[in-house]
Amino acid sequence: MADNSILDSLAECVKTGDIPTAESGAQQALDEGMDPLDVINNGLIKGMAVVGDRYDKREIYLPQVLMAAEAMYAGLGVLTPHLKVEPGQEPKHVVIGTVEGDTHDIGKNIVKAMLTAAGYTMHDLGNDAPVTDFIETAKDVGADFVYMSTLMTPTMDAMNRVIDGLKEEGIRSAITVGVGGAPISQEFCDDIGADLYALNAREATERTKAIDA
Amino acid sequence: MTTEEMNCMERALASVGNQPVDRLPVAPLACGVNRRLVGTTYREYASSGEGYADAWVAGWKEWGYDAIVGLGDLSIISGDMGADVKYPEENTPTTIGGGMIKEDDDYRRLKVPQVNKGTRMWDLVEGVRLTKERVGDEVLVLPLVEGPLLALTQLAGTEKVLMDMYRCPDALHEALQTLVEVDKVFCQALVEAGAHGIVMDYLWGNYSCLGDDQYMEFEGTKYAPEVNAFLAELGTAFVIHNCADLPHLDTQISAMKPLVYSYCTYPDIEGSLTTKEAILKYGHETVVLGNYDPQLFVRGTAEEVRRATEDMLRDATEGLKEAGLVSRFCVASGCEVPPALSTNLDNIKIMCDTVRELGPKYQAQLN
Repeated sequence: MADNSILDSLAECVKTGDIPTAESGAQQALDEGMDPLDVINNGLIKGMAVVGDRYDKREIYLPQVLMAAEAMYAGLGVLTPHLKVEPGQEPKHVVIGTVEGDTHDIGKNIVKAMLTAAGYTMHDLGNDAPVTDFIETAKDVGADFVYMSTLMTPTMDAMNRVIDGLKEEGIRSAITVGVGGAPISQEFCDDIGADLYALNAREATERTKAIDA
Repeated sequence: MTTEEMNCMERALASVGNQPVDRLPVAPLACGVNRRLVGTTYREYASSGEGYADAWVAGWKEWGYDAIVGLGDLSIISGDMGADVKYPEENTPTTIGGGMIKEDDDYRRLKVPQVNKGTRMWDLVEGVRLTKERVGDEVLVLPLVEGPLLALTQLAGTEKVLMDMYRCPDALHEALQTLVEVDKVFCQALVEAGAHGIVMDYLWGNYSCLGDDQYMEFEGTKYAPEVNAFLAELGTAFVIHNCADLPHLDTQISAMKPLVYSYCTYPDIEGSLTTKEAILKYGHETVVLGNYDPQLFVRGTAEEVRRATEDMLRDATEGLKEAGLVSRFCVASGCEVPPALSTNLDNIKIMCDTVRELGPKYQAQLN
């Protein structure tokens, strides 16, 4: 198959949430000697960008976005072990999770998918992530960003405690801290000393890239 | 407690009937936070009927609001159906991991638990019964129950359910029908214990998560209406709470016809209705339960809380006047008052006091 049609096919797999074909398509691309970074950027990520647009416009909703993300991850799973990282081009590290006491993680997972598509290395702590996990993982991976999400008002305090913990470890100034979720606001972000508040996954991605630029 | 012209029940019923009132009702969804008045931990609050009742009654007596909303947490049904639930000492219980559903047939194997002693459903029922013994018919007692789709996402995990809408919709439908039966059993027990009405939480009917087609297929067309019809057969009031951004209001208000609709306004989200907009659009169909940011109770100064409450009274008055209505609105928070230890209890008092103080002035424009 010509390179472009493999790329188009992979983008289409992401758009339609076709997980098995994304995986086999990614393998086919490797077998045909294609550059894995090119396949990721112009196949998988291109498809995910279309999905993101459609979600923003409410042409599709979360189930479709989640299926698309799974297809993207399936393809990435095949391709990323073959990536060559040039010195000075190491990707930035994002520690992301839903805070302790909250098991809602849909929004966080969409942000993770979008930032993965944008080229960031994501360290996903999952949901109900203890405060210490955010801090320890940030230290261990040399995080550039720590992003926290919650859907519940009772658990918002955990975000404050993570920021305090990063300060105690002496790494706060090197990290951009972002917060999001339904009960979160710019005012809350400012109150707790976080750096970035995003209303949705698209804003989270754009603001992250703007900080990085 | 109050020397007002109407008692809480009189005011609430008059508001539902769009009759003149002395002032609009106020109901700051203070639930678990009330445990701090009786010196129990959250875990103690959420673990027994006495825990619930002691807290709910203490809050009502302390602040004198017009409805007791009996929210435990959103893991009651899932816990009684076998899910792992974590019970932090001072935070809301949460269902862990969605481990109940590992394969499609697990959806089909779900069973309706009975509301027996030892279950968390029993505890909430006991909480209602004890509360009703203590408050009688002076104030509405309205327990909250997870709707079928919400309970399913607690059992299986939200992401799994959303993707299984594609992968195995038939299995989901079977599980949802089982959860309708769970809701019926639970609601019946709550009504028999004395609840004046039931607040159904239909959280997933929101445009940030589901479009019309999928919400209607997996809750809106069949499952929620079946629960709602059962509540009507029980002769009990039916309220919907949905604090998600961009709820499916046409479905959940115009189609489902709840007596009261509780929602939250998100000023930064386009399309999120203000108090006045909600009343103008839906005030003839339901009593709108107002909507301000629950974080005000945590971070707001006294002046900010007072101002936000008066703003809501003003917006509601304008909306009601323009809609040709008299009293179909209740001042409230858009979601539960955060039960965190950092919540400033004085702010609950300020909200209620502001409504008592200024409410009559605004109501005079409407009666």
